[in-house]
Amino acid sequence: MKKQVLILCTGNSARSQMGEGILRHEGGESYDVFSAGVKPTHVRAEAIAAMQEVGIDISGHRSKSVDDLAGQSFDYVITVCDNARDNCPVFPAKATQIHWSLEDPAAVEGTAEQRLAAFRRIRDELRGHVTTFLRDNSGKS
Amino acid sequence: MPGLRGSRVVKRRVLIVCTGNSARSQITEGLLRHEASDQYEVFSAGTHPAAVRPEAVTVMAELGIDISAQRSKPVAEFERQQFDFVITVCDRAREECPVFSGETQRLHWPFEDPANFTETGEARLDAFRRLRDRIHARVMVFLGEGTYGSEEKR
Repeated sequence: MKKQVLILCTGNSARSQMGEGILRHEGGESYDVFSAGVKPTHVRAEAIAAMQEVGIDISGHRSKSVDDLAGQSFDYVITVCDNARDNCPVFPAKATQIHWSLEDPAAVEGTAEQRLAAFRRIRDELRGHVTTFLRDNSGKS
Repeated sequence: MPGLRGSRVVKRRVLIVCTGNSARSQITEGLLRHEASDQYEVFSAGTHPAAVRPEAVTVMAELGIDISAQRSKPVAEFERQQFDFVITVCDRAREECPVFSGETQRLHWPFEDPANFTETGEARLDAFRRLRDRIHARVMVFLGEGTYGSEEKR
């Protein structure tokens, strides 16, 4: 039985989408991964591009509302928002709550190059968090 | 930084081609210009130019990008011009994709032809939005390709 993981942010457009893609890619054999936002918008093109650069296709992902997952049970709920600036969403569930504080790359304005650089930076931070998560939770039943 | 010659930026010329120059190539033109008009001069054309699809104009306007003044043009209009990139955005399996000669880098980004969209109303606009978003992601990958490798080596 795979562990159920929900990754949560505000827009479900950048951080939680990349996190979902990375965790599924790295640990999909042990985890069912979902993502959602409190104010779903659309998956940012820069997120799809930054993920494609590391060989992960999230082009089929959609921004989804956390309301659509109400009633579903999860083993882990991971919030990926910026402590300093966001209101971090709360998902009331009997789950291990984990928080990764990450800046919102979608908030970066500028040239395409500057925006892509911001998304790559957050993508790489997420890869680090996912590696740690998988290491810390391997072997737990 | 690519395209920099002294203090003057030499823009690279891009021609985007599909069949009708009515949706895919128009959307791509609008997105590439929107994202990187400082680096690229962008044109589009079709092998069988028709008219710009109103749905394409609508879904681009949703991103704040106005392509209402773009028109469908035949590839022949550009035959004698030089381009750094010629990008075909048609579905090679099912359509006739033009071949451009000359010193140009040819790229192929296959996208399905919206002429085959069977949806109506809002579902039809949704299909155009999905197409727009797929093209947008491809454009960002293209724009990132010049910088990603060098960043990895840091």
